[in-house]
Amino acid sequence: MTLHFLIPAVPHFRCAVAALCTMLCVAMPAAAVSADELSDAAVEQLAAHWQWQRLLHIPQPGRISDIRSTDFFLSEHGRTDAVAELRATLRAYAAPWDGQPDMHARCRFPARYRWLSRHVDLPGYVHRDTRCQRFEQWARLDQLQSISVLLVSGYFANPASTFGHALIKFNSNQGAAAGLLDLSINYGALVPENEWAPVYVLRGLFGGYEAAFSDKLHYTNDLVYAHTEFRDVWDYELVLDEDARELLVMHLWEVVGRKLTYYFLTDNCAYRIAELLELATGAQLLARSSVWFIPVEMFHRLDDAQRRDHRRLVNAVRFVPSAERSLRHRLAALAPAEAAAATQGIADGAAHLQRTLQPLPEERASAVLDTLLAYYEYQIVAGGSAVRPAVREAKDQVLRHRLSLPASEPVAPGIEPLMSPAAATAPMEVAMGLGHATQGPPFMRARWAPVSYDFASFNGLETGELTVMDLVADIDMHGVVRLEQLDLVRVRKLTVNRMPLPQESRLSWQARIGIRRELRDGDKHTDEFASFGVGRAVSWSPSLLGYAMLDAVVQSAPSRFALEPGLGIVSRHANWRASLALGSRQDIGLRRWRGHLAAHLSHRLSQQESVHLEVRQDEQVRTVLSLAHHW
Amino acid sequence: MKKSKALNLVAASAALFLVCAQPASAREFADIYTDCGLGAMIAPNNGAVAAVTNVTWDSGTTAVSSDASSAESCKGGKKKTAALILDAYPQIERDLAQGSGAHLTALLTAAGCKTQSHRELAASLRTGLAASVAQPGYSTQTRYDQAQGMFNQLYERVDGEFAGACTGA
Repeated sequence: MTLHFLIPAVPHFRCAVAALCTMLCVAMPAAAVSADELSDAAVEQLAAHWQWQRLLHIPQPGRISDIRSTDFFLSEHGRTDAVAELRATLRAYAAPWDGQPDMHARCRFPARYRWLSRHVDLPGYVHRDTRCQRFEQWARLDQLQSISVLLVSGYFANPASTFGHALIKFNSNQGAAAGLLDLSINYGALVPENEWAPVYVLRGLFGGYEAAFSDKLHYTNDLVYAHTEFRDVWDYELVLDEDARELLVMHLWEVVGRKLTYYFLTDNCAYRIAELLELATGAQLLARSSVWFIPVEMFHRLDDAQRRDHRRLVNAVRFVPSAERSLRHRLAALAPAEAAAATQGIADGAAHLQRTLQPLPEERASAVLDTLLAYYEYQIVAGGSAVRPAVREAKDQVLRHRLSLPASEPVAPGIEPLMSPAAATAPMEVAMGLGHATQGPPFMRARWAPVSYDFASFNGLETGELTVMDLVADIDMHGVVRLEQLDLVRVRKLTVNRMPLPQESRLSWQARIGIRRELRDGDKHTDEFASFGVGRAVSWSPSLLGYAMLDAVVQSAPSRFALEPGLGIVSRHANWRASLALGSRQDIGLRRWRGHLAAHLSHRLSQQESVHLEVRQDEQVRTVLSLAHHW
Repeated sequence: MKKSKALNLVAASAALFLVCAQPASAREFADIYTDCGLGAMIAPNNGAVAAVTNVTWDSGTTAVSSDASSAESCKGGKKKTAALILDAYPQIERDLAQGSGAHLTALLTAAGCKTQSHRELAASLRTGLAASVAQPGYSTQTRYDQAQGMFNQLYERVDGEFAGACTGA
């Protein structure tokens, strides 16, 4: 066993000695010691092993297990005492088999015994005990070819899903069924139906929910994410040898359904999956502390671990488009006459399909009808309980026509894969720069944003921005630090679909809450504000978009309310970003428009570094050149 | 009089038979629906905690999860296909209309049908769906009714014409 499997340095000397002993022990080939021959010291040493701790979900040595379910533990003190749990596990190994073999500890905790067998001679141990029929039927190890972790894109409609999601999927050879009948393992909070939103937020943030791993056939998760919430998925197929793969599957068997405590920012889906991947791969994914651990962070750390350890952890990344994206692609693939027929069919509620499709060859008429079916599926799901009966009837009209035509041969969708968010820069940004102002001396600028997906960065959302706790401070020549800006949250959702759906709303929106410091009448003022705006956006090409928005502002000064129209252009290329924003704020009650112009140019130097040039003009012109680090 | 009484008795018995003679698969679907808690995915539970999908508000789960966490009576086979049809009915319906698709393939695989039989079985099911869709009132049927109809059509074929190619799983 190589040293890179070990968790790095612990703070205290005694712990360091213990860690060193553990390192030495696990670095040596496992000596098969009989369970009966294990000394107390040996048992304690085994119990302190990081993998045993991980199997019990003990976050750090000396802490209690994160698992709250008592049936996860064989010792009544198992949750608080890793040694006691190890002893109980060893004793349970030798327990007699009764009429319910699936309830024997060896069938309930196969991962523990798999791991123990490397360090202890377990009489009669076999990697896969045929008496454990429930486990075998669940795991289907003989058909299991690989395991993936899925990164699900962010979902603006639910604040808790804004930062995306992660889950695990088993991959067997299902070919055309696209893995829909494979197991996928999800982790999330157990939220009662119709929970009041403020309660939901508070309980999610402060550990008010239990959470659990659930095992479902993948089609259920696919229906939720791809076909109901219309989220894209990136399938990261892991590099796991058979032993690691089986250990992971066995441990998932042990933990599915067990209750833990859910913390939205930290002990969430990504964190729990990272724990599991550490167990299976030995890669350090959680060693570096974080203020929070959003799903994409886990995938960044997988990448970091690959580079750091010079090993492959990810075999391939496969893009799985949402049903919405597939629909837009179908629409875009129609020839003009076909698109016109589809639009007409939607406009007249599919009442005259025979006539509308009559000019088209049968094969193309089928393609139009297939597109309409996809359109109505989208509409019915998106409409939910508010879907009008006429929409369902229109869908069924399309269905009748399609069923009257021959079946089509399957055609590959040909959707251009979207780059995974984890292939972009990490969401946390720290920047330092130098600035010049037309009114005042030069200054230094510092910026910190724990979550920054904006147009200037190289991890931007496809058509929007999301920034949380964006803090900008200026430091003058005397070392005095002043808050320049604090955006508690800044969200922008631009509807720029270049393949718009018929009758689709084209409205874009943005919201911002924060604190700003601005020069007014020769003095600097710090104001609190909240704004919400709507508008329109247009995409002239995949790399160029523009928008026009009108914001309503509530502010502390100079007046209570303001209106702020604005225009913007954003240009995005592989390693360059440029944006220009023009705006003007009318402070209601004051006869003054406060215009501003902001230009921003960014260049990516590497996966972690970028350089930014920002020029902003309002009452003065300020220019800042900064270097940003993303992690 | 005796003859008319006899005729009445026969008629009454026939009527009773017709009332009680629900197709076995219809009873089966109904039993599965009830015993295995299907429908959670498309209709909210009442109070019970169910959502374990990234704290998503409006997603549910189906009780027929896998061969592990569900009861003995709700594992595999027809229970799996019933759940798949109920949950993914729109997708299967669309795949049948097109003639192929991942959800249709998943359904036939779940029914234990050999891959070589999928094309022919799909074509047969497509014909069945066309007949269903042609019926007045199809658009106003509940998901349950539509799913039950598809389930029945599937097992008429799996247990009949395609019995040699399908195990029913």
